Amino acid sequence: MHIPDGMLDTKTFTTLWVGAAGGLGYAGHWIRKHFDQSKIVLMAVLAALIFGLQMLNFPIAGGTSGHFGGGALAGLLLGTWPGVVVMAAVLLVQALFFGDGGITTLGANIVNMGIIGALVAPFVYQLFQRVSSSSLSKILGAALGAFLAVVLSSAVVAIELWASGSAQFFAALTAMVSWHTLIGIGEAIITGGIIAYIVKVRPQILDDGEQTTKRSFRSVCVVLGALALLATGLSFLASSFPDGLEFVYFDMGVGTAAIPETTIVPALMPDYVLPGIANETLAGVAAGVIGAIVTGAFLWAVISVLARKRRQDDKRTEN
Amino acid sequence: MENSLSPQGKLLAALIAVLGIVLAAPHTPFTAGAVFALVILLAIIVQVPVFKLLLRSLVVVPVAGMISLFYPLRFVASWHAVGIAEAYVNHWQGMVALILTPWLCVLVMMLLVMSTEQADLIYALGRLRLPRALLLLLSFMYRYVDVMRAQLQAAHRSLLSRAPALGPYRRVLLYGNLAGSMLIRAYDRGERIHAAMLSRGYTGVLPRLHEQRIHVADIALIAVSMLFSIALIGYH
Repeated sequence: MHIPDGMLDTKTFTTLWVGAAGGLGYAGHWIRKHFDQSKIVLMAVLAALIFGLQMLNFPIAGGTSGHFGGGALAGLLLGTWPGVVVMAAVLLVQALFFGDGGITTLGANIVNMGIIGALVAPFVYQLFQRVSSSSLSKILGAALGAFLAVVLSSAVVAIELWASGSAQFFAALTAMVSWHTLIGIGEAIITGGIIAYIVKVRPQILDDGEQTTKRSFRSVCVVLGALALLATGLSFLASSFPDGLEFVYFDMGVGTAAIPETTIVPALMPDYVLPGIANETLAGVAAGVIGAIVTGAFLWAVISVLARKRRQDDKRTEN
Repeated sequence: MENSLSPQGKLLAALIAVLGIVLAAPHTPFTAGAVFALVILLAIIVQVPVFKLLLRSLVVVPVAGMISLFYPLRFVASWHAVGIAEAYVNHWQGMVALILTPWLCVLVMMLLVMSTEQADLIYALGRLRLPRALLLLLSFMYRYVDVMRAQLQAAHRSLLSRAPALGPYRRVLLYGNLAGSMLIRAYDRGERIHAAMLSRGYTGVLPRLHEQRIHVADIALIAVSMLFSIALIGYH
């Protein structure tokens, strides 16, 4: 699931970096506002634990194995935004020290596994809690949340690879989702097992996470929805099937075999490079910068609206 | 050389090199060979074991290899065995390029990691203005991950010795309990650590034992990395 360097084109990884930075920036702001120092230390210890728990391997099929991810668990225990920061730290260490996931694609990995993981699991868990607050409902909610978080993340990875021109859409989507369905079952069993243990031994830990999730839930939905719309829009802005590596193949004399793809909307930046710039890479970078500016402006607008709404809510509560 | 360069200088040079490699996607034997030769040369200079470096860099190949399998399918004219095989035959170079770029990037990052202490790299991230909360998390991961892994391994060992006949799926279920007990310990540990930190005068900022400033050698390394990246991009 960790996307390595070179698999995403400039436009896609820049856009996702801005999305991740926006999400992390907001998470930082949220934590400063709601968490005291002892909670931040707890986050740090949990980050170390989740990193350690990733050594838990489980069998999948054909002699292969998957390992525990932890994004869903982080979201369930700490709430969405603190969970995002914990996962960002884990992913940063994996990319920097272990070559697990790339540096240019770290933003994408934070969005895929951190933001989506820490959002989806608490959301599903909350839905189950609305139906019943029994122990079984808690365990099932957490397990299903963890499963869906893994599967949804894998689908988003497939979309990103397709938008970058690194993979054929349906092949990547089918393979990623079917494989991660199996990994998701392992993740669900371990997450459900952890929650079952906590429900028995110390249920107040879950209550803390629930309170945190309730406070941040609406803003997460809006920011993620906005990001998804924007990412989709940018993909089509370039072309229906953009290809960051096309120049490689034309360079080698094999690009002529490429099949012309059907364009759904006329491209403003054909092959996601800016017209008028001769160097392919520089044109790609310029397109990426434009993507970043548009994403940044969009995120800023969304967060400003949310912050204003929160101030209004706070004022109303005071009155 | 290892001791004369600051970790933030090395980190910055490595990040620039990775960006250059990603943007240029070196795929010809000449350019890919040039990047490879430069990394190996640097590894020899800073006395990093080359074989170990190459071995560790291979971690990315299975993932990149799997993703690259989807690439030729973009060019399938007809979805029959012959059409699919044709796409793979015509576009195998694309698959190689998709594996080559991430591998060269990991090679650069592994050279950095193997020639720099982890604590120094975390310090370098702080010098490059990583947010304070994230830095605290990284410091704690560096400090406690080995402790927790040792505890987890001990618990895992006792689970295997007490229930050796369990099937793999039953064992996965027990992993939940094992991880849950680790989690409760982590919560307690977090509270204890915070109390201990406060008693030692913790104000929310981790103290720095020694400052390492950027010197001329660092600027030279960053400049070389930048020029090399620009040359790569320009060549393509």
